[in-house]
Amino acid sequence: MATGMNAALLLLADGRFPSGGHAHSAGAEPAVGVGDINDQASLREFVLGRLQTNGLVDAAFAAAVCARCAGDGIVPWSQLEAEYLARTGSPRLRTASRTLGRQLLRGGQRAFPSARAEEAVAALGTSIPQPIVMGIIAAAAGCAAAEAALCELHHLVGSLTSAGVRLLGLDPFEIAAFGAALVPELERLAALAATTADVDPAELPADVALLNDVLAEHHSTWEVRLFAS
Amino acid sequence: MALVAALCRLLAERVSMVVVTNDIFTTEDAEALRRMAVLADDRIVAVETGACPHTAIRDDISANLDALEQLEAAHPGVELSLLESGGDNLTAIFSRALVDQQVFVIDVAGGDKVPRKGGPGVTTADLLVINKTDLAPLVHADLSVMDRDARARRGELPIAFTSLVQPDGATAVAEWVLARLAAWR
Amino acid sequence: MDAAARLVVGLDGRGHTVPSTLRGEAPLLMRVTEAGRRLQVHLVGGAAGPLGGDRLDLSVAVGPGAALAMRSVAATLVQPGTCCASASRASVTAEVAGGATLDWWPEPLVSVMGSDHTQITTVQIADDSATVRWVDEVVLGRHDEAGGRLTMQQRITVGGSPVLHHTVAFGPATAGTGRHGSGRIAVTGVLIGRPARTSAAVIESDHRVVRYPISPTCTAWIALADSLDVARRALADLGMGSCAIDEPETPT
Repeated sequence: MATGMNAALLLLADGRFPSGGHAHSAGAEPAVGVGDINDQASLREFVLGRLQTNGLVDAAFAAAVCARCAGDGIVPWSQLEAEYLARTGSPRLRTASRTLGRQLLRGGQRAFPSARAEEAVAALGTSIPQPIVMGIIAAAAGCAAAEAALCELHHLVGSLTSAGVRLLGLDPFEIAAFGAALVPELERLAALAATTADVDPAELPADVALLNDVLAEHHSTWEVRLFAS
Repeated sequence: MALVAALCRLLAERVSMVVVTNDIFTTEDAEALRRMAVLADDRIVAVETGACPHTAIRDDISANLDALEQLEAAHPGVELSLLESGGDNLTAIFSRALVDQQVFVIDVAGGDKVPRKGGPGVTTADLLVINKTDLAPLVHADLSVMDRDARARRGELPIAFTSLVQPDGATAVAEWVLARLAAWR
Repeated sequence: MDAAARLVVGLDGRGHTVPSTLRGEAPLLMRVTEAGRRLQVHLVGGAAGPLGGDRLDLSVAVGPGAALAMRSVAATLVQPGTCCASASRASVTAEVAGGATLDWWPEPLVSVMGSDHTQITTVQIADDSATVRWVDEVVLGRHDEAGGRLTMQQRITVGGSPVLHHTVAFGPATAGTGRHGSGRIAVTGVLIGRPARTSAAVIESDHRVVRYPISPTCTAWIALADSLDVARRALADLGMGSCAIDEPETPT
């Protein structure tokens, strides 16, 4: 994927950008809890499965919103949200996505204010699913649709792997090497997500990981959680 | 949690308050607060910090701000919001974008050299609480040394020595909170 | 093989559900197995299939106030083509009118090693007055066999708005903890038009099951398990099997 230099993208992709993501494990905490992730190899398998399912969907929605926000046309906010929710059935996953969206909106609107963000809030309120907010903020920051998608995928990998580091004490250098090995896959998926940026929202990817729903709802019953999701 | 519970007991009837806790919060903790009837359930929210409590109060305060705003929206007229972090480390500090006043609590059982070590909490917190004074003889801690070192670090900033096992152990802190509240009003 | 089947049912003057169109061709053959207020129709599977290269097209319409239960007499075995590696494809379309009831729960779809099949399910529900239960059971591979490639796509709309839209991909490249677990069985179910049930999740060594509300009138179930019996039992425990949807609801 050819991208020009884009310092704004680096800012949005930085884990230090204040958007509340550090408190979410993207499903890694419940997977560690039930023993599905217990070492580097199982984390790798988990990350790949999630990237190609929910990761692709989130990336595609971020790309679709980014492309629409950058254009002159009307953005079908309600339809985009309804289509995203139809792909995110679990109430826990919906709540997590809306919370992360609200939090990203706060930091993102401050850093990259835009009329599109105000338009979205007028249509949907502030609790907007996170990938939609990512599309809005990425467009305001001057990113292309594929870059919005890439940022979304990058954060998914970051959430999963840093939870692995924090919960299992995995070797951070191994994790860094794993991240480097994932580069071609992230770029492939981001490019794939960008190919649907202009389609009718009903046609956007809908790949799901069924286990993600089970684990998310189970996680919500735990008495002690270190991560919000 | 003990200081927060004590403050709730002393203040909840006088001011409209809510609590956000970042400490690992179990249903037992919630039960304890409910049993003591210090604060209604829906006025207490636990925020998970992804195993990084310092980040949640300092570098990326999004989740805590979000929780406070949701609570304050749900309870119009809230005058006092307590945000508790179990950061438990001398390098912890709250972002000024998150809190108006911060109280830093250290523990006599940690040894009487703690104030001398300083750190942003000991040095700059609006109130330094040196808790568990009842344990001083047991851990051979000299409270006067702690007092002297803390004053050297903090200049004019206030210090409160507390023992929450005493019935009125948190009174000094509660009075300080009320004074800050009066100044804010 | 290309085959199409169409079933249209409606209410007659006595309040019974009767077919106005019932047309099929092998392997999509249908038989009425129970008549009355609710019509029950079985897919009888007139040939082995689908096989690689097949294109199957099944469409069902349930008219206002009518009640239809769709079942099948045996599991659907998805098999590879005889000559070359070609994919098979099935489309299932259902239209459900206001006040109508559709209970769709056929026997499982078994993905045989080497097969490559895509099923696209589209359910269009007129409005909140309709009731639909839709259950898809997937078995990956016959005994001691890995499954083939299988993609189950499902889109359910009520009054044109999407309620649920999923693409669930199974196969050698998609196994693993990040997707659907390592079991052979995946069952998804949804009940629309009844008060939603609360969330519940169960994780045991041989099954993982969840139930959650999607909207005030829609509940979803997922079971991932090592055996179909275990999955069905676990789902029954979470109230999916017991909701005989043409009878008054007993809340759990």
